[in-house]
Amino acid sequence: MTHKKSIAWFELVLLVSASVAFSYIMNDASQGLTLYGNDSEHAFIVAVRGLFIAFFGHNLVSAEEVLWTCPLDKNGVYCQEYGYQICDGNCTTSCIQTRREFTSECRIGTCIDASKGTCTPSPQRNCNTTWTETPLSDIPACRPGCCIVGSEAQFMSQVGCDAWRADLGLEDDEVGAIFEPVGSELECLAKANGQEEGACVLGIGTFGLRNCKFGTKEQCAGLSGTFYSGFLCSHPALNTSCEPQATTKCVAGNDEVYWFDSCGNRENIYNSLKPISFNGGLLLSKNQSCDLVDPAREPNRFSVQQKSCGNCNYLQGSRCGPKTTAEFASIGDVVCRDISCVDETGKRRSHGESWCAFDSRIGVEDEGKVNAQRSVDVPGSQHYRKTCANGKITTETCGSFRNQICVESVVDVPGGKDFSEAACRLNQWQLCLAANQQAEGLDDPAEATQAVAEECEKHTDCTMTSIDLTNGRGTFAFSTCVPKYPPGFDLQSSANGDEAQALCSFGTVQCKYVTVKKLFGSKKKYNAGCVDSSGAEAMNNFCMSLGDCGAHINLEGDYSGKGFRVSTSRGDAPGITSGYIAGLKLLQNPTANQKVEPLSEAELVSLYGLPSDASASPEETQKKIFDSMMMISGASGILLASLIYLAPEATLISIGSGLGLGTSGTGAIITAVGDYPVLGAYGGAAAGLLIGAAGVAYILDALGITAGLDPAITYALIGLGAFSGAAIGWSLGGGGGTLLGAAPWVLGAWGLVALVVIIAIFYFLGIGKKKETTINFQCLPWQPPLGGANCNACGAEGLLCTKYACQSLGQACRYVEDSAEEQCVNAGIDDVSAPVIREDASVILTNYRYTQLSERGYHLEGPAERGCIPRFERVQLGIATNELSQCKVARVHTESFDVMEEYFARFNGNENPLFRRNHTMIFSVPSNEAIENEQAIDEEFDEDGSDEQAMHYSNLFLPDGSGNVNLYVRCTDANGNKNLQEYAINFCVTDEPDMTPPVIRQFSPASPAYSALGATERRIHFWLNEPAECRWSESTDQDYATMTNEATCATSLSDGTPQGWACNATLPTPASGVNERSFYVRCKDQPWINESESGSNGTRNTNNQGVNYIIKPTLNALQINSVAPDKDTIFVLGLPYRLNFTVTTTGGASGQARYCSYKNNNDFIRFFETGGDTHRQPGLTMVSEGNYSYPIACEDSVGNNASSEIRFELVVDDQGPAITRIYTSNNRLTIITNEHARCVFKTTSCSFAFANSTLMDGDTFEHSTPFSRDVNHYIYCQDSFGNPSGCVTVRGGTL
Amino acid sequence: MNNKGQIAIFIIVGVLIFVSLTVFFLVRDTEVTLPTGTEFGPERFMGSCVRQSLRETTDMMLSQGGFVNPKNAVVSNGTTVTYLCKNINYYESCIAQHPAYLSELQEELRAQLAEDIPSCLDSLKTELERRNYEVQLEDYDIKVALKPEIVDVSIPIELTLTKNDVVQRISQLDTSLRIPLYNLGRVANELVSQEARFCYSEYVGYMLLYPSYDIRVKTLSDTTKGYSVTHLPTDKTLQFAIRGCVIPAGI
Repeated sequence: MTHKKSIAWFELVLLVSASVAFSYIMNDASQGLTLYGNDSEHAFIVAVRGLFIAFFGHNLVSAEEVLWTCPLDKNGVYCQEYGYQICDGNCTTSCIQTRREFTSECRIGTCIDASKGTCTPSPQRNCNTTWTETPLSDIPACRPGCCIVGSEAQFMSQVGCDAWRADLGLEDDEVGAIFEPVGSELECLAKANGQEEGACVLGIGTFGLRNCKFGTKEQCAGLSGTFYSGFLCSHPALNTSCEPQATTKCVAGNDEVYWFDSCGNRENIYNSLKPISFNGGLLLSKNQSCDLVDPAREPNRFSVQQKSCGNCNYLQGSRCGPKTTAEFASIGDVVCRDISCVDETGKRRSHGESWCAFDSRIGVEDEGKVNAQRSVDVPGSQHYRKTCANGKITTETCGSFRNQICVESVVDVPGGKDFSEAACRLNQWQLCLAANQQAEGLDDPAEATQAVAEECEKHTDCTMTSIDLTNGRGTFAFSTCVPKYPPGFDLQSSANGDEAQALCSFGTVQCKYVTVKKLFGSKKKYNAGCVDSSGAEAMNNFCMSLGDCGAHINLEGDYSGKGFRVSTSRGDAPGITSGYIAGLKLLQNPTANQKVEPLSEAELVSLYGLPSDASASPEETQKKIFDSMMMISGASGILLASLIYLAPEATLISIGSGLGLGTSGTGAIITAVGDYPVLGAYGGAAAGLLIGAAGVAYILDALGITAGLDPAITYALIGLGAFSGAAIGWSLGGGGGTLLGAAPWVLGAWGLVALVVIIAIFYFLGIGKKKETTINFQCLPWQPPLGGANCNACGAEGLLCTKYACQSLGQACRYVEDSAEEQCVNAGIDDVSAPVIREDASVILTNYRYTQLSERGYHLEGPAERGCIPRFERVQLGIATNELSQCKVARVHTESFDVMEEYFARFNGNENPLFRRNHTMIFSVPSNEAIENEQAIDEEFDEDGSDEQAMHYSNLFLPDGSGNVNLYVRCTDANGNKNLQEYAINFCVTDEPDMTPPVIRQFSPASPAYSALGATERRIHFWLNEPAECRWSESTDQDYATMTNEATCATSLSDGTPQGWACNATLPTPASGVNERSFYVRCKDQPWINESESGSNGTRNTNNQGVNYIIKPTLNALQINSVAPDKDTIFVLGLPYRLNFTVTTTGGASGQARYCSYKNNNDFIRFFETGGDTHRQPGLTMVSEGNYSYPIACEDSVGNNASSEIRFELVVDDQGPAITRIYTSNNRLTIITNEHARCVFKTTSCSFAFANSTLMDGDTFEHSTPFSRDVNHYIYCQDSFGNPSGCVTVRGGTL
Repeated sequence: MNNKGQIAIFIIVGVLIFVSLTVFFLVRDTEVTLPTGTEFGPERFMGSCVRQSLRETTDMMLSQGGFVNPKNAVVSNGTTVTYLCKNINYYESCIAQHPAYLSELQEELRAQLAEDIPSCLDSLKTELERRNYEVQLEDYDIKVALKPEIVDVSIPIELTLTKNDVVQRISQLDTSLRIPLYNLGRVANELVSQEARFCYSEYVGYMLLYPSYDIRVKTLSDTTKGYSVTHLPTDKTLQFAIRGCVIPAGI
């Protein structure tokens, strides 16, 4: 069994690596080249689809999208799926309102064309012959075997064999005589040419000599000649007119060079030593013929022998063919041609060998080095597989955009030679980003890092990268799992541009550099690496590891820095250096021996299953992914869990932390820099001591001085406070005596005075004052350089030009698909005009309109008073350009496009530099009032606040003092033609005092929500249209003031997300027997206003009516009703075997989705079809016999769960049924078989075909037929797999 | 043997020949082979015409994926190439569009010949009439059979030729051409089957095991694979396209 398993493994590896394993053939292994069951990649990409496409699914098949099936669409394509909204419009008939696999006419079965002998997986809809729903691999007649007809053998199915015989006009022969199972295709082909050959002597010819034809005995009989087996026609004894060895020729279908006699008959394999080759006129076998390949002569191979020997061997790289000028033959014009190749490096490659080629550096550079590690595949680069066949090298592109990568392995073949095999396999980069989810819920940074690292290590295509810009002090340090081979993007597709932008935004992060004034020496610096060029370079390394992101080069080594931007709230932004750019340019050329690692066994075992957290509800899982994909934050702060968890403080200093609510950024900084000592109590020995110590500590902290003091000084001051307090307390407590010659309270008082003076001095000296600088590292999709001067470099270096490679060479490069000559052309060679900008009316929202339209710009009019825009409303506006353009926007007048920094393309808070025709901005504008209030708070903490507020709110378009917002736009086209004049857009924001209470936009989950059976609480989220504080009450709607339960809400302007400002709350669930629990939520806006202070600058608005939210209980437990397969033993015809799992469930929360997963290896993998009560997982591939166990876990979206197990033994049934008993009764002959079977009989002999015989009654264990004692019964049975029994003879009169 | 004896034998033989010929023509009634000219024969004329049509049609079919008027196709290098397997969406394997491909090829060829053969028959009729034959064409059918390396065309026909009261009836016109349409179709069917099941085809392995074929794959438009399968002994190439298991960029 172990051996069998290892063989199966070997097969699986071959299958998954998509290689024919030519070395396997060369080693003459007996295992098959069967290509069954490699659905692994399919399974993987389906899993990835489920996780990722739901979030990026523009124009894609989405797991969330409702797909209908069109039997025949208007393009003539059968059985395609369309989104339900567009399906009927694309279909020639009405669409079937379900997925393809659930339709009778479009689900995939097998189409059998018996007349032509083909079996093809297809829907019934377009199968005009015989169709069955059984998968092709499960149909015995469609499984390949060896079909032998005469001297020919073909590896084909029984169906094909029958058709072949029919084409040749042959009758059915005895069962098994022509079609037989074999281990491999090669084994089958070796069965050909087995017929004896010889001279066929015909009648008398010229000069009394006889004519002769060389051929098979069968052919000779057709010519009515006399057959001399093993004789050549030129054999002297035959007295023919044929003279031996007249010339040399190739023979169709054979590899060797043969002698031909003067009559044109084939003789033995060519050998320049004629007598040896003539062999006395008798046939000489291939093995006895000369040896072409002399291993001792490598690498010259057979250049010498080919003159004298024609024993070519295809599998060893030679084949008969016309000689070239470089080849020599002693006689004739044909030789054993060398069909090996010489690759681009000069290395000789054997026929059938394949290897990988790359057009840039690949993989990871400086792996393991903090800040330096990066994944280096260059934008536009791909992996290629090269193959040597018949002396020619062919190049194949592994999937575009590096969705596939080339993996190569070298095996030893007989003769001590290396043989390279390469295959394009799926790049599993998505798993790397998913691995970061392992950190969710882990508060301990070390533990979280470990969890991510462990998951990351499971995936061959992933690597952990670490960034640390603290320079020894601070929090900006994180480790994440990133792809080794980053994916590429289609940068000229608008839809893909958004996805690229979303993916790159993983690398967009804000760092807060903080300096604190000290008493002595230089300032304390936190996250100092963030303001250094090395920090920017480290962040670009991280950025470019995510995909085609950041500053990078293209295939020509042209640098483009538009994908990475660093901005600061103060001072100059650090940039990447020329030295760094020079290092990037080195990535242009591949290095020798670079290679992709093959997948591990564990990865193969799990069939590329994406890890999932079975304990988390789907909703939670989805939210986790949602969070990690930056869709909630919608801002530029990195929300990779690994960053957040590694440094909890960093959560708070990262913009857009989404649910990191309730703490202001400034407060977080205090925490971040707060490494001051905390003095504990002395145990309460003296109240004064405690009061003194605590008071000083509080004052130092409150004045912010602590951060600027060395710990020793802080301790000294606190100690002085404690002493003073103790002394005073001593005296107040009635203590007497003297201390240092004075009353204790006097010393205490002096101590206090000294403290006040010292603290005052420190305060006025600015000790402990912080100065913070926000550094925004923005990771954007990489952009090709402007123009198209290098388009014609596409496809250089002997590799292929693809659309992806072409578009990387320049913004103006366009790939021309239907071109026989130049594939990558400069589309903008004559374009000298800058883009023309106009308004884009298609994006404007209801109640908004463009006014004052001109070629210079427009005014956006909103629904509020004076045509202004209401505060906190989401604004959407756009421009359109007459050509593909990249546009930028500024808030003040600028001199040129190049000095403008912000791209006019903003979605979910992120910019996108993609070239496009339609450019849209989506944002919200706060009121002046809100900004002023928040600024006031910030200024308390920032001595230079007035200079940097605009940058502090860089994500917001701030109105000027009059409530107006002005935007100035310029664009450039792909050739670098830029607008000189600005295109102006303006609008106003209402300046009325905020009198509107906040609005709850959305709950998640929506009301009514359900709670799990036995759960006591349920966590909910909701989003508001403006920053606010919220409370909730149960059963009755109360005033906000009287509500006692508080929700946790985002209260800072900068916490805004595309959905709004987030809150969350944990609500109690209904007790047993209670149908529902009702809650009311109210909120109060402008949380920055302190209403308790007199003269506060504004009035907060509170909801006068609560929003009702209901939670219902789960009434029936979630149960698994059935699992399939549920047999203890599953008999299969052969391996690998594909198995489908089906699980049915009932119960759970009413109306909620239910999901089931199966455990494979250590991971639970969600069923392919799940969400309802029937859950299916098709196509699990079993590669060996044995016992299998798959734990099943089901859960609904509120956390109800159930478990079960699918357990079975897989047994290969390759034995026919055994007839265990034979008897007669009531003139009927009855036989019993040991398994379900069908039996037939004949009365003539045991030699008959199953189909042409008399079928006995019964298809289980018992089979019977009327019995006559006068004749013999020859009985033969087959089981359901077609395995035959032996023929049993029941002689007449014996029973 | 003396002269009289020889003369007697000649006479007897001559009588026998005469009687035999008389009986033969009486029995055969009017079914005779007409002397239509030294180099002209209806079968040969039709064979030549049909083979010409076969060559042109199969050349067109091979370059276009097996169909004369491709419906579901992609343009590559100016040629419209049929999708034999296609899924318009991402991620999922392709759906075989022509599962009984060889039968469809056969029918496609038959249909195209059905358009060409009338003109062949018209030409034949014209040629015969030019040679003063009365030509009567009642009915005909066209049968095409794809076989390994061969295309057989059989035309059951009711063609009657009359000249000088001599009548010749032709009931079948057969011709064949060495074109590996069957072979190439089988290879294409195998590649499609693999693509539909596994998202890829091991065409290199196929090519190595079957040296008579040269198989190339070209990526068209980054989402479509263009296959070229060449039958080396005849240098005939079948081109077809496949779209399946497409992974979009950056997802």
